[in-house]
Amino acid sequence: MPRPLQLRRAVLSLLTLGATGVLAHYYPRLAACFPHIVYLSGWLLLALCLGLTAYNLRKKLPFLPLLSSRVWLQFHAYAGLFAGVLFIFHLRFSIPGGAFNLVLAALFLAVTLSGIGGWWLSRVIPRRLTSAGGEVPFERIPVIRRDIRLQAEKITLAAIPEAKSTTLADFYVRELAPAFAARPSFFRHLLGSRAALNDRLAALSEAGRYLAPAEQTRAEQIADLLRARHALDFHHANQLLLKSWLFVHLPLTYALLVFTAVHVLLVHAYSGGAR
Amino acid sequence: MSTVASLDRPRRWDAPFDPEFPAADIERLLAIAPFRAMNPESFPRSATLPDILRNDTAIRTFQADELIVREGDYGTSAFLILKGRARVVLSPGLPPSAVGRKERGKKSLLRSLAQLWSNPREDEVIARRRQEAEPSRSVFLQDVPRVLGEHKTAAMHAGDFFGEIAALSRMPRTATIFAEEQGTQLLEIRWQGLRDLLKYDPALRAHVDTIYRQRALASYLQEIPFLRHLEPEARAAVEAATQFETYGDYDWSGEYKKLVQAGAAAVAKETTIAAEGDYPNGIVMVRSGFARLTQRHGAGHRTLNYLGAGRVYGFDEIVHNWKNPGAAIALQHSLRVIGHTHVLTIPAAVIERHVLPGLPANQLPPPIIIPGESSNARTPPPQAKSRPTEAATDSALMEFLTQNRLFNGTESMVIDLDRCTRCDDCVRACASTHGGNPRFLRHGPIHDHLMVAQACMHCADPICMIGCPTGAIHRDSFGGEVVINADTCIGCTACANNCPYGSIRMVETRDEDGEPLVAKDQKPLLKATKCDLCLDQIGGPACVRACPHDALDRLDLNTLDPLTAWLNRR
Amino acid sequence: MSTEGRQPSPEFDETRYERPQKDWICGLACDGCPCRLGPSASGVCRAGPDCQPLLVTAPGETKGLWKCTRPADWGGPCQEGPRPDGSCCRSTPPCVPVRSLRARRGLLVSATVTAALGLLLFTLFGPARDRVITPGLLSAVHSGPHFSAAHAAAGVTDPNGCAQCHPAAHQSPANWAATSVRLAATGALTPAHLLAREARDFRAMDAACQACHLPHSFHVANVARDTSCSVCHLEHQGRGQNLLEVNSAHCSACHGSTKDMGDSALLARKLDPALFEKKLSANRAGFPVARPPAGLTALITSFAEDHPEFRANLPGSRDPTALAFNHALHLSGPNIPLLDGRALDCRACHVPDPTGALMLPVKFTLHCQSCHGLPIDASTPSVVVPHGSPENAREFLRALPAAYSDDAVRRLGLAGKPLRDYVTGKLSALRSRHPSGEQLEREVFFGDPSAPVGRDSCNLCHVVTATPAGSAPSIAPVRPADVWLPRAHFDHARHTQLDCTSCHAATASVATSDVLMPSKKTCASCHSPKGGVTDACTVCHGYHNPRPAGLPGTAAAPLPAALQRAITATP
Repeated sequence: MPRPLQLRRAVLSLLTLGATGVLAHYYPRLAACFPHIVYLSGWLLLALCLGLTAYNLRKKLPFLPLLSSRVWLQFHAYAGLFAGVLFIFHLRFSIPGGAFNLVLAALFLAVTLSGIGGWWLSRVIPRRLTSAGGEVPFERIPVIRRDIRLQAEKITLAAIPEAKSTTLADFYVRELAPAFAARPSFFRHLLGSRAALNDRLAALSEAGRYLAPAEQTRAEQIADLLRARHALDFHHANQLLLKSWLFVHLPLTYALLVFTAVHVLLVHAYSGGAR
Repeated sequence: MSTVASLDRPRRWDAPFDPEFPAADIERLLAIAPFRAMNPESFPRSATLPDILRNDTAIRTFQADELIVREGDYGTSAFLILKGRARVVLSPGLPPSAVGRKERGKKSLLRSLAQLWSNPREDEVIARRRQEAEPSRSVFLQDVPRVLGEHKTAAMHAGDFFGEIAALSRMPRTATIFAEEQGTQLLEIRWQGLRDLLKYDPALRAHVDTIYRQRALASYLQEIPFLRHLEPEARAAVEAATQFETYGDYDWSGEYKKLVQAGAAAVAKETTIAAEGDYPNGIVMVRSGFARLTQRHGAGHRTLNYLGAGRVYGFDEIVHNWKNPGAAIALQHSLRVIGHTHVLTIPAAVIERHVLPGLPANQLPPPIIIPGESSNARTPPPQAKSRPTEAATDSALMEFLTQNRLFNGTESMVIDLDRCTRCDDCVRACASTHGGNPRFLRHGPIHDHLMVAQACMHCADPICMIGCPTGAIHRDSFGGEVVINADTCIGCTACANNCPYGSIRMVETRDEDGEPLVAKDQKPLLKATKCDLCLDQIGGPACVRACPHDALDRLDLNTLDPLTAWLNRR
Repeated sequence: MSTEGRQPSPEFDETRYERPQKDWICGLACDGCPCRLGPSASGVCRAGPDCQPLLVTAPGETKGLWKCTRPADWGGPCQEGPRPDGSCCRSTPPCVPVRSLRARRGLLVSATVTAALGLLLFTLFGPARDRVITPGLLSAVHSGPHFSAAHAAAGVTDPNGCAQCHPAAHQSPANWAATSVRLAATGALTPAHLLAREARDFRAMDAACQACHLPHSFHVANVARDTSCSVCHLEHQGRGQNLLEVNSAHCSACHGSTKDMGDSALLARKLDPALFEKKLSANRAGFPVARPPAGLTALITSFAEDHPEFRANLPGSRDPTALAFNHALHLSGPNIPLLDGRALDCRACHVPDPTGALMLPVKFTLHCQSCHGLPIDASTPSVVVPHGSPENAREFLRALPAAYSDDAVRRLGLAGKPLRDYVTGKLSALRSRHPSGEQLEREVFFGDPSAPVGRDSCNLCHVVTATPAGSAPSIAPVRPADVWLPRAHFDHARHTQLDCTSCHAATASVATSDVLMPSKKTCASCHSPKGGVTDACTVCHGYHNPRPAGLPGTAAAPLPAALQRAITATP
């Protein structure tokens, strides 16, 4: 018995594939029968685009019984893929000519590709986040980052009277304070690099040789904080990425709609021939 | 925060149960039983007997055949018959259609849409108008002679007490009761008052305890499948032998929180109801609360399952011993108390004499195979024999659910972290449907890729309700969802402190300009807030419908099946 | 799997809700210390004193004491306590609230839409409008200086020529909107029109084409569904495009449609057959084939699959040329002499015309005479019977002495006595073989039945019939066809890599009546998707034909009502 989500994925993929097959098989035939096939595919494409954009509207109306968001997303994803295929047929498999049409096509392509990319990110990054642990709501990250820094400072200060030495404190001020105060790096964490963390942990354990026993336990705590900070930065980078792809997808979508409206206008105003 | 209108801090009896309670009636009540016998001195100054009567009771008059309480409804009050006669329908229960159960009203489509612009722009703005209480609708029982003919009923007279099971155990009403005489007069006592009465008057407590046991027993035993076939004599024998036992603290939240703070909710510290390896001398049925089913594994105990209300323990072993008198076996699992647990025990001897002989074969449990004893070594996994549907949930998950007491939830918000993109669509949907304020925190205990978010789980055993002085937090009478009435909440934080899951949050209320509302002592006015499961929204919980990635759902964790199905959905 | 080995969740204040729906967040939030109140809904900082101290006057005292009222979850009463004047001693530093990530995204959306609108407005109302909105460059024939010159000559003043075809081209976008609405609501682009199989009204655009390309508006008389120029010839596909390249799908749209071909067949039966005659150029002779009564309305979807066999090859089809010629004998007969030292081949007789497309007609003087010299006697091959007219031949025979004499003067330079002796000798030798002039004439025209093979009499090749006495015998005129597939273009020059005999089965043909055209199958062995050579309809066929005189109606107009009725009335 296939699992419900696997079944859904299989059925919807097959449906999309089937629709593509039907399109590929019938479009040339229909093109021979219907002289206006390009208008028909255009209207269908516009309807699809509006349907896809309506998802954004649905998200703003969570209190209305407008089907659940998951149904919308599934429609959005698979209908979006199909729209990409239909778009190629609409273009008659050629790169459009003219600056306006070129921009329109580029916008469509960018929206489709960013959508596919976002879909992929939405499936990949959550697993990375989950397996890394350190789950945290994105908006709380700055507070926790500050918390970690304050804790580290507190631990360091506490070590001074305990050990009657400032070795750890000196090391902290020299090596670790900038790291705790720094803004999180984005790309290194996207790549999952642990190099910076490992360097700092290595430096800390290197410094451990010169620490008094009381400082040793404090150094352990600081190492834990370094790890916590690393996990926090990892979450920050990846959650930011999950949010940021929409910064491409959404603005381009609306720009595309604006261009599409003008395209419809132009096509009608300049119509006259059979195509 | 310069010029803020100072308000009176709301207090317990700001909203009396009956605002127009006539003072003369208090005198009348104090003159009759059981209040006559009470010692006013034993009540504290803050809650005197007349105050309790004035504020926490109401006198209701019913017409003939009018329904007083409905089976299945959640109610938080008990009744004392002052005048007239009422009749309780014992068995079988009346169908819902006959008693006119009705779902809570939802917002209209337009009112739902209006939330788009009518939600306040500031956080936690308090609407100054009080919501009109829905006028209670009288429902009359039709065709009473037929009901009397087809159902077993019993009459109750002046001085009788009922409704205490629902009021005290946070369970739905166990029976339907209707007024039999025209003008039957009842004193309805809301449970905050009843609690105080019981607390300060030992005699009433003893009385209520007794009738509670008598009445509850009959309806509870009815729920055990293998007892349904009993002849009346056998049933009476079983009832006579059944014992009530209560483990743990009624308010177990504090104890649990201490356990959590201590670092490990060690199984060993829990009270054992029945221990693995002991001779099975009776079956245990969990009546309310939860019990943990464990088995020795290495040096520790492995949690196999948790048993909620209506589940039975020890029956399999007793049947085995009855069928194989020569090869008696001991109990296979331990049953341990988690929190506050109410159980019934029926001695093995009574079961063997009255129940097993007449039991149809399909009611018998599958035979127990002891690992290592049977030579043909077909050893089923330990869980397999308890219930087939509960198989295959890993023990780490079991440990996670029991340690965090998550099984209590009937509408727990579970999030699949492998699919959750942390987009917060659920939180925003929640905010849009709750006046611009989210009512949960998308964070909580995590096991593997399962997160149980800090949204009200609408517990089977809502201990948050225990401390509420005004009854602002209550169960919806239809579905049993735990909801807070913001108008009567006085911001005492009792519920928030009681909730072991951190799902109730106190918020500082504000006016329309976003300035904090403060009381005369300049302290902020707080309100308890939590998930209300979008009871008044069309379409159900907005969080579930808003999740684009199939990552969030509301599940009943009382049994494992929904969770197992959900975890295996991808 | 378990949670072991993973970083635990960091601890934070879980007693407060996270409010991701807010547009503004405290400016200090990114430093990790947001204030308690947060910015207002419109993004104004509301920082102020932490609390409003309360004046508490103990009973019996006159002077009160200010007490800190900071709430417990913000730290509780502060250590310092209120100032003597009752003001709070601590205050949150003011900040500049920042937009939340989501609000910034919304801002970006608005900015992008605004930018797109601005760009479009600039484009639509700016000077570069036509260049930007064109869907592609015009073809080379419709652009460039020579086209502009032609335009100017035709009196069209539009510099870009857009308005010639697109009347809305130089109107304002507002007019475009009006036009669009009109077209989509009531005009040619309504849903019903778009879903119709008939082409919508394209007369305006076609009129624009036919301003220059007028003769090209006609296909055949029985066309049932007329079509627009732009159906097949798509403009705006770039400078390099060839407007003459037409996709076969446009042909099979009608020729593959049962309904259209049915209608055409009906029309063909009603119309005068003369309207369908194919006119060839004057010096060409077409192979005569009968036109089917239903016209050429077989269903065709592709050449290889269902294109009918060439009508020249239909069963019973024969070459009617009145000439006896044995291709097989000439190409491989044992007694055929060498020509210039080589055996005869096809090219010896069949010579391509200057374009190389078709073969020139075979001429006696060019291709036959070198072997078939027509001498009157073998000893003097230079005295030959003239070819071309039976009368001339008879005249020649009746003046033989003069012919011998002229030959001797021209060839041998004789004169006087030697000349007379030479002529007399020849004549007497001739007379010894042919007792009379009449017999000689008969033998030249009809041959000598007793003579050996290889004689050169007229009836060797021609059909010669005797006539009443006094006149020369008549010879059937010979005009072999040189256009065998009159409705197709064939270009021999493009097939030079093939042997002639791979298509024309000449080596096996012994009779003139054999039609030596290749079968359709032979062509399709290459011209098919399988063969790899194009099988486009336009390779052989053209669409446009000159309009025959007497055709009712015009091509662009709908069918005449009578024909329309005839079509609809026929079941």
